[in-house]
Amino acid sequence: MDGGNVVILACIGVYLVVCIGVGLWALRRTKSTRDFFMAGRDLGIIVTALAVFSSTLSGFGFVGGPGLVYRMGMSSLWMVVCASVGYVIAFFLLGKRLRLFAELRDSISLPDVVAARYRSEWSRLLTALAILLGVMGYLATQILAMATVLQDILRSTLGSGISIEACVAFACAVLVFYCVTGGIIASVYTDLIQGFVMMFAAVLVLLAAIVAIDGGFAGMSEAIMADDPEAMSPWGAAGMMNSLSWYFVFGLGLAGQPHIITKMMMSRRVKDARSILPISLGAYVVSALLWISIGLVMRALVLQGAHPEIPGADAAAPQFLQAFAHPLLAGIVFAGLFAAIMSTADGFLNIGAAAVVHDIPKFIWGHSVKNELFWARTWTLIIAVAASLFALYSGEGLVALLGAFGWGTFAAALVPAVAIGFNWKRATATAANVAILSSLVINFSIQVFGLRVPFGIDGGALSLLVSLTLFFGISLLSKPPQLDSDIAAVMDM
Amino acid sequence: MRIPVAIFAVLVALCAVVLVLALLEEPADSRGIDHPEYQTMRQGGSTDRHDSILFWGWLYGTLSIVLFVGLMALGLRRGGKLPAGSGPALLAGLVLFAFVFAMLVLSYRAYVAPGAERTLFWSFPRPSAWMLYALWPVPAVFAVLYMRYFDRWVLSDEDLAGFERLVARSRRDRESAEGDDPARADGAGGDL
Repeated sequence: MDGGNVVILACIGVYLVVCIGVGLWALRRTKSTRDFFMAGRDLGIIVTALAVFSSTLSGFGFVGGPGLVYRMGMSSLWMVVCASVGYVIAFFLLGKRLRLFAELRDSISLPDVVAARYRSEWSRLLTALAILLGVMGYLATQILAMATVLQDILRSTLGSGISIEACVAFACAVLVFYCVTGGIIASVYTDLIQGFVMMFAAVLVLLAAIVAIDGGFAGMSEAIMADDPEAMSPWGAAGMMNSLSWYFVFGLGLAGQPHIITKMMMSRRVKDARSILPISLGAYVVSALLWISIGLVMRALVLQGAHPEIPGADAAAPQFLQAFAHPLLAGIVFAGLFAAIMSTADGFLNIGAAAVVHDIPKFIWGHSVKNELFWARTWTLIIAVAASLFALYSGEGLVALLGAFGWGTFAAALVPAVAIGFNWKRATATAANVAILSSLVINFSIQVFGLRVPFGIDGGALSLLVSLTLFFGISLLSKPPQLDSDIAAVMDM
Repeated sequence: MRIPVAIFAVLVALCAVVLVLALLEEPADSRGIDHPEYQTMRQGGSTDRHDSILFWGWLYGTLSIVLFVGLMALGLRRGGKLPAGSGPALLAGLVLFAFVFAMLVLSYRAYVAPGAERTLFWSFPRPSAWMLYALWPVPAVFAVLYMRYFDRWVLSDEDLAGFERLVARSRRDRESAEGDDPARADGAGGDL
């Protein structure tokens, strides 16, 4: 057994045990569906802020992000740089309004609030369906990523192969345990721990990256520029329009990510939004240092011949940690990776279960199911198992397709209907429904038919632009809608 | 001009930029090329690959920034109007944001000019330094405004008191409605 890998495995083991402990603790605090889905709307500032931030940074930020930077230079840093404006837009548009709506109507899901705002059960259904579609793809990719990393570590530690099915089952079991027992309370308190782990890991990795290369970051820039000046320019290898379209869709799209914005409905006091914004923003900036540093340093090391070429771009982070970091640091970062994946996945499980148990029955029967808490737990389990089976047996292409589909779909569907519609009385239900449908059609068409968008403009960005334009155009051309008096009063605040 | 109409105009302009780009001839290396030596890497290709779209890229980025700030203004509106003092503050933030982006693009133009001397600023080439050290933190200006003027622009104590009255009334109405309709009594809330 490799001693370094044993340390890594031990760090991950400790982290998973803590997650299970939080689940058991949260079980005692979960007494109703309001607790299960909305944490009783009683979260403090730090917990909410770190839950918002850690839901934003998924496993992609720890593995895929550095991989993209390694592969194409500075291009993918636009996905990081946009987060500052993304958080600000999300809080300006929703920090107050979403929390007020949730309390006013005692809402426990995002589609609940959408239905109240537009007085439309169709808007509720379409929002719930958009969420479910995005959740399945996103959740499957997160579970698969977690299992793949676990399989790699176990293989190098034990020296023998362990099936991916066993790794999926194990990774999923921990996630499901704390999500089923403690619902969103367990999720947000594990998010709190996960957030701290991610920040700590990112700072340590930044330091390790600086000392790994001769001349520090300046030496790194010179090595990459000597090979290809464009790779170190702001647009990187992918080009200007690709980079700027990522800035557009990832910046603006943050206000449409249901697993992030539903956390804004859970704070104890409306005025907490004032403090949550800077904490979430600061935590993200610190954690993003990992994304930036590993990818660029690894590219420079390979170009300098200080490290052999890696087997694939996504191996940039694991290979860097194995070659240049102390096993304890590598262990903390791998625990951080699990934290990043699980903190996003638990949010998806929660909103997916709410869509099935609460929103779709409300559309069909006009009320949610009896014993909602029991069914919420049951469906959390079912969704996790379904996503795992989907990840394992639907074929890599389909999982990747739905994974890529996630952010852009949420952005294009929910930014108009939720982020804009909650701030503009003139917005109509028809416009919201058309925006959601157009986002689904355009995103699927681009992905399924492989449509080529000019100059590498991101398909999600195009879809968001079209859905926003349709939303504003249709609303401006329609008669102003009738709103419930309490909703109208909140929109005037 | 009303904010929603202005935002719609910006969106139409963004669509027009995308349409113009669709009509331009795309250089072979506009999305990068495979690295000749390392299979896992991509290269940018020629330094003149953005010549035909630099203006359109700047316009797309600037319109995106105008849209971002316009949406912040939409979020601050109360009763259809911006709170006193918030308009000039947002406008100043917008000018700064757009200026930084323009400097990034100009700096990139100088970086790829034939025979350009590519110096570093705090370990990064100058255009990338504009991106990392200026464009990334600029939105913090708006975050500071949000925190500093939260009570005046976002939610005052008066608003909060009005909201609490509204919630109490809404709860009474809902409870009486649920009392009339047994099916709804099993809805969200306290079931165990």
